[in-house]
Amino acid sequence: MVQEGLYLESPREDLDWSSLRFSYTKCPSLVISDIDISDGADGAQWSAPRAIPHDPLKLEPSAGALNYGQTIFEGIKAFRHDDGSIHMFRIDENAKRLQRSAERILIPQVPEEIFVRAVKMCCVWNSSYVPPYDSGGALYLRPLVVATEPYLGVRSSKVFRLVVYATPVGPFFSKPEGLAVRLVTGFHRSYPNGVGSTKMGGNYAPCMQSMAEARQSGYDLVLYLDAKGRGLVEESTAANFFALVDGVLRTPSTHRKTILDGITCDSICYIARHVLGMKVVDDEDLPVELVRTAEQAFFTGTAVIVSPVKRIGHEADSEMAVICKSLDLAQELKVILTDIQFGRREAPEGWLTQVTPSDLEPLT
Amino acid sequence: METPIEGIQWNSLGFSQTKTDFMVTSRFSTKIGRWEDLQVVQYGPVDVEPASAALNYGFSVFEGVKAFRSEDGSVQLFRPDMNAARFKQSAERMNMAAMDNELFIDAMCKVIAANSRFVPPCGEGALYLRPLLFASNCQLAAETEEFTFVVFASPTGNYFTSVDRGLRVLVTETYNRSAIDGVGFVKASGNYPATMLPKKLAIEKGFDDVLYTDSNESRFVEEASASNLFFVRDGKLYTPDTSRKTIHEGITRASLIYLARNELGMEVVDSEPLTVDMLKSAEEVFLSGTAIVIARVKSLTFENDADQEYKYPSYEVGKQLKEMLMDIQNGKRKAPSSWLIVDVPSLPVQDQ
Repeated sequence: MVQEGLYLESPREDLDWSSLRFSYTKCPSLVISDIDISDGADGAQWSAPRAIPHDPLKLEPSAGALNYGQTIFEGIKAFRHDDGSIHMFRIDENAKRLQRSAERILIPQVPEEIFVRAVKMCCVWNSSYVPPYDSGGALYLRPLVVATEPYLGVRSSKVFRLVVYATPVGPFFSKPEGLAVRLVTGFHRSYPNGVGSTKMGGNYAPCMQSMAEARQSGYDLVLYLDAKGRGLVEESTAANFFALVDGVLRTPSTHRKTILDGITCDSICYIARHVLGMKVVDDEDLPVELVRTAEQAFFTGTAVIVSPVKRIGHEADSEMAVICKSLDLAQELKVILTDIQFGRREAPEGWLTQVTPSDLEPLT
Repeated sequence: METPIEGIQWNSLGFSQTKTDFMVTSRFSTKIGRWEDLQVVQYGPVDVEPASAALNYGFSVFEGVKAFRSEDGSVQLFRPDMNAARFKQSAERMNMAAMDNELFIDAMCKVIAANSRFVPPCGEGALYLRPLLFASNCQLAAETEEFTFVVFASPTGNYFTSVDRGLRVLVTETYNRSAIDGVGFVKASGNYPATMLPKKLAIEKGFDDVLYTDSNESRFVEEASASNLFFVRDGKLYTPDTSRKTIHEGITRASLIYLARNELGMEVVDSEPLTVDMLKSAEEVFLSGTAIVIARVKSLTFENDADQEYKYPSYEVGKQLKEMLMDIQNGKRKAPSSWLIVDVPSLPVQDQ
């Protein structure tokens, strides 16, 4: 593919950047890479990523992704700095997590080099959609691996496509007063020895019912408890949970593979420890009993960034109510994190990857 | 109805896709609030947006329905009302647009009529129909609001020979497939990936399939990778109850329970959790599903007791039930009056 003439564009003028929300806006280019393991997984390789116009995929109705759910994804944000340069946040962690997801549900591993190149290409080809520095928005990049082989009968697909699309995004929540969070009863998103820690498509749709019920009852977000009924807090549909209890910042351990290993979660643990000098506990269970005594609480995620919680509860159980006394810690952590992402504060080694068209020389 | 197409070895078709001529499609948008008229179109790829909720967030549910040719050449749909009800239940649980039974059954009839030359001869298999519903609008964190419904068809073979020899099955505690109060009972695409790795590892060890236990205690037996479990013990037929929402509510399962109770006069225990240990003293074990009807289990190996292979030499109840059910499906035996068997009307095929 000829890369000549690829350059980073400034933000488009036909978009109202100030009204950007966390919602979908179509961008002009996709990047794809394919693999076929029909002759065995050993010799098979992902094809060199290439950019194509953003058109629908053509999938047979019997495609594995649609029938047997073999789809995994990632979410990466790219930020425009004050000098116009564009940087992706901790993309090596996304590459590794996609590999872990793939391994659990028998999708061929995408090598980190292919993954990073595909995401970078998608960013460059859609660079006019990277929001302006002062808008506070980002270009959200979504690498998705889907089973494209048509077949009947439950088994793993032999043909897969990696497709990366992009959409400019703004804030997920606009609730400066903090979120109202409903503790979910009667549904669990995950179970031990399952797939709850993977970013698999099928982990999300089952949560919609509890989200819709929560919204109808006046809540903004849900918090799930462990499926064994031990009263352990796990996470929300697409965000990790933190509570400040007796001055210690706690987020539930992910060792049971029931909780997604959040990259924002990990970044916040790092910042709390190394920038704020706090004590952080991220390798223990988090009982809901402990959360009841929390001074502060918040959610983290690529989409929600750091979103403070005002109250946690369930309308049927007044005992469960937690009212957070302050939103300060979440706000402070969010400022530090976004300062790093936008280049206003020095990033820890390796957290930012600059996107430059010269990185996209043809693969040899 | 056309006669079966020449040149297909019907009985050697396993459960795999043989592409047919036509599919049936419809779309639903919450803005319009109803399903578009069903369309019969050439079988082929459909447009799926990379940002669709189906591919990203698993908004996809399906069914498996079978149509059979009788000796007189007519074609019957087996209990499509049961599939329609389950399809609706799946859609509602996943916050997707549901459709009423009438439209669902109409779609089945249209796809059969358009592909009638692919309905195998009487007794030599079935035309398997796959209704699929997925959320097709692009979204990042919003509601699903557009849905695509597509039904395709594939002739499938009989299985009598392959699965009646008996399967070696591994009872696993290392992996689980479903959460209590989760969506394990839904025919959602997202329920299948969790079973692929455990099955692959089991096959590498010489097993044919995996049987799962409950994800809380590993104490109760649930189901296999894609089929329900039955066993016979002290003359009673047992199958795990589905009330904890962890197990597929199989239509073949329901049909076998009915036949065992009403035609064989057996006592059937189908509404209580069954412990893994009960399997160790079972006389006969088999799996059921739309694709396989019944697959005999020849032995079970329990992960926590792996030195011993529990063998089940008997296959009487399963064999009897399978013959009875297949005779009903092939029109050789009268179906219970409470079962809906639909005579598929011939329809002019509309060319796109």
